[in-house]
Amino acid sequence: MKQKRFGKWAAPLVLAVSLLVSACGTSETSSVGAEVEAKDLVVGLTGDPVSLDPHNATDTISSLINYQILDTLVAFNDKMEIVPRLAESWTVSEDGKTWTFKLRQGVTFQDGTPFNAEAVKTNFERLADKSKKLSRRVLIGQFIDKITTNGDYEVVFQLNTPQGPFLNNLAVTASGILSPKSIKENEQGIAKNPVGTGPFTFKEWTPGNQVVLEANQQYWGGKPGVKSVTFKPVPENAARVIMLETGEADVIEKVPASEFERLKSNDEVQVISRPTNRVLYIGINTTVAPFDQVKVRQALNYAIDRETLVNKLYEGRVKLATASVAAQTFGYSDVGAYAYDVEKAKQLLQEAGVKEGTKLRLILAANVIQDRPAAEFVQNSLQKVGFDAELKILELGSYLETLKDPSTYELFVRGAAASTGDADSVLSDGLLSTSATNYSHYANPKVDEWIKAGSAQTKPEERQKSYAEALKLIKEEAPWISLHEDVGYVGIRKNVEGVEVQPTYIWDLRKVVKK
Amino acid sequence: MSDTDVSVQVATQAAEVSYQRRSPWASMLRRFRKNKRALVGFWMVVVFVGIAVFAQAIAPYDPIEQNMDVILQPPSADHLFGTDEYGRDILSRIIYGSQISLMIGIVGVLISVVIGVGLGTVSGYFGGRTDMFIMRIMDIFMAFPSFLLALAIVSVLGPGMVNVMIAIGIFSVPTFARISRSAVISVKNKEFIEAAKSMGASHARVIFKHVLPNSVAPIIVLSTMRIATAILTASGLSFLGMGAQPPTPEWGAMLSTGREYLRTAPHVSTIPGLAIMFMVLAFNMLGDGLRDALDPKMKL
Repeated sequence: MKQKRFGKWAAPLVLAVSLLVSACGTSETSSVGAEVEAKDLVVGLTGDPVSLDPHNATDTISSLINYQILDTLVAFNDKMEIVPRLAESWTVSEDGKTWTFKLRQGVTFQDGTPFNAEAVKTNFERLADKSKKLSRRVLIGQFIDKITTNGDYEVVFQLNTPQGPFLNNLAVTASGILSPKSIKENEQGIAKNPVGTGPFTFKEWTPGNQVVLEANQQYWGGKPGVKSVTFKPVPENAARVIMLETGEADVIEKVPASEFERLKSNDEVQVISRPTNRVLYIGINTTVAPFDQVKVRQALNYAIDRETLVNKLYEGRVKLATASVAAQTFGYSDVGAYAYDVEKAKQLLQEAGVKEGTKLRLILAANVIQDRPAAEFVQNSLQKVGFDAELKILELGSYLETLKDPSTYELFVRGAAASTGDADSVLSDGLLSTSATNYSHYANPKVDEWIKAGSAQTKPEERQKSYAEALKLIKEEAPWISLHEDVGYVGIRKNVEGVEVQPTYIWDLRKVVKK
Repeated sequence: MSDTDVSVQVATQAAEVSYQRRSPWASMLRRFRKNKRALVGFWMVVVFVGIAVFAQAIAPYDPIEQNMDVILQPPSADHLFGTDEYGRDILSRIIYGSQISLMIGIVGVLISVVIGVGLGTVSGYFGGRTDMFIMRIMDIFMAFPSFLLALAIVSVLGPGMVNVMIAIGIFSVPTFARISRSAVISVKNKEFIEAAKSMGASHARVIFKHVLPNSVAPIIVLSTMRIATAILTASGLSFLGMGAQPPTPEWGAMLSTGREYLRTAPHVSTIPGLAIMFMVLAFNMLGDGLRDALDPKMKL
């Protein structure tokens, strides 16, 4: 084995050493200069961004790229606490409707436009404009009554209703500040050429090939540690890992579980894990019999052996979910997971009059490969309690199309990710009766009330209480089978430092250095 | 041919006896038996069919029973081919998978034989505008790469085993139509057809009694070869997630999901791959042998 290894490396080694020697011999100055010079960083992602207009993009990859180009007024630190970014300080009125932000001075956009209160106003007026149909209007835009400026560096948000998660919603890329010049002059062009105040300037995007960003030398937070960042879409897992191993990529997204052991023995790379606030769940379509009965939904919950799922199928690489929102989310409280009890499940099904061999369709989107084992596990578990469970793996497009028609599915696999780090983003998205993405079609006036109360209250303790009530009721009524909290795995070469991975799957490359 | 081989001698004798009756089948059988490669293919097919028929008796485990205590184990005495990512026994899955592959291959080809030979015979027998019309449609089908055509059909119908069989049935139709048309044309001007017609036989009678039986040889050969293509295509569709849905132990699907573990547990994907290879090889060798035996001059 050793000999073989030596044989494999001998030729490149000799070559490298001889090159090094010759390089040192001829020009000492240039080799010293190369040490100091910032390098190019290559990042392997699972796909292409959809749109680089932060106010309209909803996918994680677009947000991840935009996070490096844009700044937000406030930001999350690695503990998901709110810290200042473009705003230096802020105050909120007693009724929770008026927010005043003091802005950082001396910041300029990448196109030379100065950053000031007027720029912030232009951005949020764009987000609030209903006629522009921006998909991220729901976060901040819909609550804005009026925005006024007070001098160059103070901006006042007048909201139409108090908003508990307001600061969290301001901290995500979807509330990123674009250059007002780009909004006024070429609004359609933003999706292909975003201009912000961030550490990297957008250079080019060749769809299917790469997105290139260049370091913003004038960045107010200090010059970035790399010269450029190139994001490459590499959907095939194995290919991405090989790129990391060969050094073709410095950082890769979503290292597949099957590669951990092997990568551990590689001295040049490391895999960092970060618990995320995405809860994987099986949604139950509550509009079709027999799943309109609470007993049947509880039975489904009792039928799943979550301990085995977490510890054996995923080999302990995910965490057991103990509520509909993840532990890292504001508003989380431990309401406990259903225990594994086949007898009880069967008994409940019998009481509800569910016959052996009842058919059910479980749908899964083909692109979320990490969820497929869980889906097959659930299918198997439901078969054990007497269902004839069919698993349909659909392309993302037809999966979303299927979800629009409640007569075409009984169960669906979906991840609930709290992109704002707040329970509100999960609950009002997936369980509020009026939400368009409530695919369980779960409607409970009491739960609605608690969810709405949680978002309208401004005192954290009160909000926490409202969400606790909501989560308790949701567990009892079981519109979801919550399975586990995802853990994000990012592969990084050892010569790269400072990649900050957040629980929302977003990485911050502001402090990244490549040696 | 060796003189000591008793079976061959018997065959030769049988052939000599039937020679007086000039049966083409007996001489075909003799040629087939002389062809070692064809015999190997034949016996491999027999073995696969045997495995498929007696799957329940042979398989050591339930092919869809998950056992989380033994995930991704390499081949061992307990699990001859190892286990997959859900702790399912791969040997049992391969055994049950042979049922699926054979069924898709045979049913798919049957669909195309019925439609293709029907169209080809009508086309060749009647000629003229009918021929023109049918064959131009077949030409259009032939213009598409066959796998893409199958993929397009499954995309329209939705994923699933039945739809894969239909897709495979349709994509082989033009080939069967062409072959049977040319066979019919070469037969239809023979004297015995003319004789039958002059005795007042109906078109249907002439086709079924005289034309079809005399053009069946190339169709048998083509069917055998197309089974191999059908199995390969079905595996390809399942590999892309358009065919068998989990937990069905379809070989192509097993290969596809095992790909993720290629570097840590290579047996998960290589074993189904080998199974596909051997089955396709078996049908191809059998088909080649049949072709040589039925008509050495025939080109397919």
